[in-house]
Amino acid sequence: MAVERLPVEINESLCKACGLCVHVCPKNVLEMVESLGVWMGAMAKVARPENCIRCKLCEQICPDFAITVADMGTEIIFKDSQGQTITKSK
Amino acid sequence: MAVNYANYLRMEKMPLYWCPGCGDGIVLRAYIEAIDELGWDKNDCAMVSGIGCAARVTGYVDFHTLHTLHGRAIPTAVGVKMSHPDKHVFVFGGDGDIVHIGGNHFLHACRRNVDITVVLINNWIYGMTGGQHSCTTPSSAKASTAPRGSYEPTIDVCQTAIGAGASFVARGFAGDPIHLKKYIKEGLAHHGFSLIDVFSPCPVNFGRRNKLGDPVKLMEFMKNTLVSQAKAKRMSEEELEGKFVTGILHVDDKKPELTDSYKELVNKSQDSSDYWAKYVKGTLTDKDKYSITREELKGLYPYDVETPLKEWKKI
Repeated sequence: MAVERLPVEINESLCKACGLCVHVCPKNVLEMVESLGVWMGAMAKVARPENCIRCKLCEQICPDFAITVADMGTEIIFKDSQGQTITKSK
Repeated sequence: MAVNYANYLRMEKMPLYWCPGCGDGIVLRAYIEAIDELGWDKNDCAMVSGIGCAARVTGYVDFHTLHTLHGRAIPTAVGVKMSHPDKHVFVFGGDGDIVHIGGNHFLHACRRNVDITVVLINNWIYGMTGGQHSCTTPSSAKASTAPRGSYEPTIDVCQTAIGAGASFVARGFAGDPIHLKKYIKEGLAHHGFSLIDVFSPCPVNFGRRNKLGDPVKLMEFMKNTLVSQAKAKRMSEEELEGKFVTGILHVDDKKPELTDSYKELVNKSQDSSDYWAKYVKGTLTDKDKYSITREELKGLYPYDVETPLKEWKKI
């Protein structure tokens, strides 16, 4: 049973754009994007979700409880950076 | 399985009040995961904190919480523990709160070996009160009360605690949450005073004044001052100068715990044939109350007691 979600999800109402998740990610999944609608002027975005290996380093390091990573063993369907729908099972 | 943080947090208080890049949130997450792994009921837990950034944790966790005076978190926690020895009591606080202002209480809690867990968030500065230098500020680092650099020697909190007699001492790092969770879990499970000294970056009040304002940059700077226990064994004393060793530094399972020894004392004195032991059990007799009988008293007392009493009763 596949779940329709990204491997990494960022709660934008909690994120404070400190950049620690971008620093620790070993597969360069996350990216800091300028966003003038929020107070900090930047926001972490999931730029390359297809590269995610679900190591949960970003979830562990996030000081604001903003990031949730899909558990190992759940099948997920999402749109990758090229806009194609792909399924990842693990 | 992922931990459901909403179980342990007051979600209506979110987002957290800390600055971007502060390590306190990382420590809080590691802490909640450790409690979840131990499987403790949140109604059996009490958290006490003083004043400071790290002490704001009590506002976010859904345990029984107490927010007390500056530096006085540990004596309050000891009081809670002594009245409820079967509950789990934790203290959260910063280095300025627990070591600098409440240093006296900290030393005596170590000496007494009370079963509380102290998570000390060591960010090298008084964060909330405006960046004053504290007892852990590295020498020549700038602070708002030391604009030309701090010139005082620093204190090694873990060595102080070991010297004062704490039975579990560990040092972790907020940039290494997996090991930090392990230390906190072992500290919580330990029966006796446990101290976990967590190095955590303060990018706004420490980093900004020392040209380390970027959270990632400060995290890397802090990481370079830390060495693991295995690595420290292979290093000479000159190389270890200015470095801090992480890991579980001291465990002592043989030291008696305070609530245990107090219970032992209570049982021992209640079993004895003291006046107060009999008073508590309700087995007091006239012989225990008075060392002299009424007849003997009459012989000793030179005046007539009975007649005036009878006269007074008539009136």
